[in-house]
Amino acid sequence: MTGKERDLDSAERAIGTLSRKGESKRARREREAWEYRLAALLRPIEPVAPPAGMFARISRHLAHVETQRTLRQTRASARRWRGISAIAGLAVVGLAAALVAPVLAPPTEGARYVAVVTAAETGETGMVVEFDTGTGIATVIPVGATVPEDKAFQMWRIPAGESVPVSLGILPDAPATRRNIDAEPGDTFAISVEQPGGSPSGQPTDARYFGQIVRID
Amino acid sequence: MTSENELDDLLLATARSDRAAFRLLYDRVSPKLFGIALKICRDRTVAEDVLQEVFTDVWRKARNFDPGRGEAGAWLAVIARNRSVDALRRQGRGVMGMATGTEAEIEATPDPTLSGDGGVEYLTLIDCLKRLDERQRDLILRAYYRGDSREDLARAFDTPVNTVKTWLRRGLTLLKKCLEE
Repeated sequence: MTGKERDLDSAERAIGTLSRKGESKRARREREAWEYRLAALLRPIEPVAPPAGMFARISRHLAHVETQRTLRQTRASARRWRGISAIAGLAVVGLAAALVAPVLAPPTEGARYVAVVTAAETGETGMVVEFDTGTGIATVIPVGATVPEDKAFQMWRIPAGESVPVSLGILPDAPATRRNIDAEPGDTFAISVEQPGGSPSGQPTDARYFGQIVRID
Repeated sequence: MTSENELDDLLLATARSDRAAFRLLYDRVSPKLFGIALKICRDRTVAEDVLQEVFTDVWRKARNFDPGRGEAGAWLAVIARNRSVDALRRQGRGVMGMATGTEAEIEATPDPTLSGDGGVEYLTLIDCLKRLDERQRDLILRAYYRGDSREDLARAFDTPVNTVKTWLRRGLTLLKKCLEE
């Protein structure tokens, strides 16, 4: 293909009469040059105020997108970390701290904490819980744990020095946030396996995962 | 009017994940980008979805912006145009059967030769577009503002696809030559 033909392909990709899929880096730069060339066509278009609340909607969407990406990365990391001892578990705390920082959450005065919740029997990482005392929001990211069929995961907090767990509710099988959670360093998060509606007794039926809250910043 | 340097700075700060800059950038440019989405999509709900996609792109791809290659305003406007055209195509192919070439659709295509304010670059581009054969110009503008494919254009102009391709490429060649003069 001659340089001229290639440049015309790039021009057609800029106006959209050829697909942009699979273009090389060089072709992309040439297409972008055409896009800049033609962008003047957009200048006379009148601005229109977008609806109020649009930025909040965009922020929520971005937080969701980033959570999904974090989840994929955390799962990939968890596969590498799985089965490693408690000392390695500390490394996971650092890793999780780097990965779960929410992108567009409002800045807060509070401190952030992470609990790496591991299986009592095997020591495998089951979930990462990130907790912000400023917003009172805990974000739960399932890592290796999968809910047994026809069961549900219920989340609990065991305050430091106490033995009676307080229910924080049923967890969906996806990254989830819980609001207005009161927790402190030294507290333990636990996850139990329950009937779909939650523990009938008000106490964990089959507690499988535990993790202590550690401050990260 | 927002100065270009300010937009460059805000976009570069956004590339460093500066949320405050991202918010300011939104305040400065969202009306313009929403205007573009609305003009191309002609539907408020669709334009709002497009605006969300545009700012998601801006947040995630701001680091691709290179102030040495062009202005931030143009970089942002192109994202809005491309996302709008993508949305129009999704709709057209799915629900509305966009590519029918009714008169209403043709009328809805902006005619840049009639518009006023757009700055020197705009005037130069319009001057060059005016020098093109009318068919070549119409093909390029329909593709640009409406996302018409070669096949859509062939139907609208009742011409074989290969002829559309030839006209398009002749038009684009002349356009580039004129702009480089």
